[in-house]
Amino acid sequence: MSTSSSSSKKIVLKSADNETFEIDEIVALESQAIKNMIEDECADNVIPLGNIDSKTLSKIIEYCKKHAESPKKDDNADIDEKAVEDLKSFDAEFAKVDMPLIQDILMAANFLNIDNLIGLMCRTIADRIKGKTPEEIRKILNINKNDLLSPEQEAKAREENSWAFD
Amino acid sequence: MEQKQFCCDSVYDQLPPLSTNYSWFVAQNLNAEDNTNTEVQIFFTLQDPLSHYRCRITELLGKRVRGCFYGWVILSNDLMWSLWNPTTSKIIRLPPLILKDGDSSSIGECFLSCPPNDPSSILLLTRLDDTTFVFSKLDRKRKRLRWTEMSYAKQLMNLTGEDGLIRNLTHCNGKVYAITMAGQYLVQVGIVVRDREVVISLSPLGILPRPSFLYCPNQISFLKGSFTELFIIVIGFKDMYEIVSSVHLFKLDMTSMTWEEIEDLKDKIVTIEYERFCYSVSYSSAVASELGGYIHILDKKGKIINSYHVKEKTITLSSMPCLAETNHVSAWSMLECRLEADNEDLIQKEEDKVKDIGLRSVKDDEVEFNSTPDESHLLNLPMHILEMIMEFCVGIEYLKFRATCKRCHLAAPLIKWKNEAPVKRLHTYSLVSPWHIVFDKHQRIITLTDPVFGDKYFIKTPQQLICNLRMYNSKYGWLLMQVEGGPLVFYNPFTSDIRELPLVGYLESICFSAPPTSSDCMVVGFTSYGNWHVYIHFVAREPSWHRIFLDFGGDAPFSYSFPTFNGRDLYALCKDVSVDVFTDIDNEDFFFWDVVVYTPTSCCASLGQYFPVVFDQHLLLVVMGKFGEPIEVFEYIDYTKEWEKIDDIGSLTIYICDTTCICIEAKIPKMENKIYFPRLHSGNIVFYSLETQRYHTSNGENAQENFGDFFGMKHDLTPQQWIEPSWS
Repeated sequence: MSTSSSSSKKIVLKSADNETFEIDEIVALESQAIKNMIEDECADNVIPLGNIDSKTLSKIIEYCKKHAESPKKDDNADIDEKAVEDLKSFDAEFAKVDMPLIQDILMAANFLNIDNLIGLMCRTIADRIKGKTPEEIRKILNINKNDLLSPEQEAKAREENSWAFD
Repeated sequence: MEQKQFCCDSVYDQLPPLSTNYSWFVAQNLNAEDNTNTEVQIFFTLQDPLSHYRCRITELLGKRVRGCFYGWVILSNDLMWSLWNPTTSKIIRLPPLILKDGDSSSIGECFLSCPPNDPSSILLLTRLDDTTFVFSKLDRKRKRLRWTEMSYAKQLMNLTGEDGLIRNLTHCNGKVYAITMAGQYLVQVGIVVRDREVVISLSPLGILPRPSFLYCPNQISFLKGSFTELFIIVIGFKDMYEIVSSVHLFKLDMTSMTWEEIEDLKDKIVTIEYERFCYSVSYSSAVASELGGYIHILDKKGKIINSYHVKEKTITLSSMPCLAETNHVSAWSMLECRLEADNEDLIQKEEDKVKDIGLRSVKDDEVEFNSTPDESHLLNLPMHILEMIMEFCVGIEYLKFRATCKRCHLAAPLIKWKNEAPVKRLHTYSLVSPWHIVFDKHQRIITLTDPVFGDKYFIKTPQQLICNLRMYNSKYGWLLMQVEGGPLVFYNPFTSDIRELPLVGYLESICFSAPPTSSDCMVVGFTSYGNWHVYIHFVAREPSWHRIFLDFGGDAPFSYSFPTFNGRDLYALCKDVSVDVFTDIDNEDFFFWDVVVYTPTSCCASLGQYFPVVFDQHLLLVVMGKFGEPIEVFEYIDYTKEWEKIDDIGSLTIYICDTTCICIEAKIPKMENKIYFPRLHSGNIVFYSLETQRYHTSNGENAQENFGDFFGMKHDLTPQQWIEPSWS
């Protein structure tokens, strides 16, 4: 699979399952990690991303493309409200994926250092656990039983449910 | 369960083996006099309602148990009085009590000054309608016992200036104390027996404590002495002494002779029964610590018990199923005589303990074996990412997330919400349900409970609000309440904002039209005391109240409750009789008021309670029986001007408490068609489902257990409300 080309400089990303994605450099620059690599000139034509599978990577590219196309706040103070709304609704649609994928995207976004995407995924996880009990949260997040607090610790954590307005 | 067996099978002909673990009561059915074969006494205990003994004890047949002192049971049958010692089977018979006015039914309480084998022992009776003591010496060396009637009217008048009756005689530290009928004074009763002469003197010891902030006209004080301590229990009642609405416990400091309020009864139990102005109070230690700390209040018929937990300040209603057939219960009394310990009970308890420990160890093993190494996605997230997720969690979610697993717990420090600014998206934040908020003055803590998920959150009470509070209303995340001896205040527990209102006289109910931060906020209060009946204050305007007179056409001023704004109109419940509307209330010249509709006839057998609920221009009325059953909902139909009974409220959720009703569109399906009450069962908030027509508790996803009424449920007597969180 490859993305459509344009006149600008291309970067090729290679997923863990050896699929390659050719993207505009401007799109790749959404990732602070890739940006650093390019600036340090340590990136070859193909950047291997051995810990990101193609499904996750394609989602990340979709996100970066959209955000790279949108006007940045820094570029233009009179930012178009419609563009902001458009980006918001894109983000909302983008986040409508299952929890394992959200966590994969979050891990990848963390690796690639894409601040906005990390924020979006964290917010999405926070939204999903809204109104849920710790038990339900564990189910949603697939938390290992070995990693649970002991009943005493959990009781203490609940006791600490203090908002401590001093 | 074993204990159940002795309930029904056998009828004892002598005093059953009453376990010393509990305090015992006896219920009688004296109307079966014609046929003594059917007359039974039922010995029961509050601590274990399933355990009771049915007895037909010859000594008790046809006689009313009036009290127990020093192991002796005081019995009466019309004119005949006797003392019976169940352990020794001795009986002391007194001569017929013939009062000068012949009214033997006017005898109130009885009191034994010391054990009958003491030559100075007297049995003393009080009268309900006369300021006299009736007494007889019990010195059995004398050939004939005789009754004497003595007036104490003059003594009391001289001492207290009060023309009252003496009641609640009690022992403490070798002295006898009593209080006056109106519950004003504590007096010491000196009983001196010299040869043939008995001198009873009264001396005043001071005024009784009177909780001032109850606004509860029906109060009764009860006096009880123990070995070295003297207690006053002040109980506030609603609805003609039917519903217990407040309980205060005081102890007399014997050195300073001042009363101090007790905040914890620890392992002690106080039991109060009152019937036709006859009171009896007992005080004992609970053998099992979990049974201690309670004041049990038996209602007039003894069938409904209000158990008040002094430290928790909660009341639990219970009933005595074993007394169903004793329709004509004529006397209730504490059996203070302690009999042989029921060893079986103790053995059973030991066994239970062992079983408990066994179970626990099995559980631990299970956890070990079942811990399959499931892959945990979240585990892989770096700590700073977890912290970031936490930053998007507000209040409840933050705390729940903390409790989810070790790493989340590590990633999330306890945050002081007020001082930090991690709350990134409060403007988009909404909670599923209003919370139940309870103020505890003594612990200086405010508790918020999420009724749907059951989680509790605590806030330290602001210094200004650590006092007695009267809760008036709750809306827009703000509470409106009165500080004892101070002003009305608005309080937002989420922002810690407190705003005082100008001073105003006593108001019975109050509502407000907008948050006090808004320039439109109008506060409207109602009272049936004084010359003015409606008080209006505009928060953003001058610091004063407008007063409005309502013309009740010669009737006494009506009392309004549950005032609620509905657009520009204000609805309020008038004396449980009608829902009235106040239109253009902010315009003194054009303001008018009218009855919208009279309350509907409902099938509530016991005193019905009415809760008007306004939602989106609709007027609903919840009608509930005294003990939570039955519940009916009516909707006011505009074009017929009548109530229509409805079976469900669709996607709405109603929250009811003493002064406020909140109605919201359910945010999640499981809240739909339900009415939440500030009552707890097994620590969970209770709701009534209009679908099942039963009460349930909610615990996570599933509606747990179900109940037909409020019996067995707990509720707080401390200031409380439902509150819809708002951070603005």
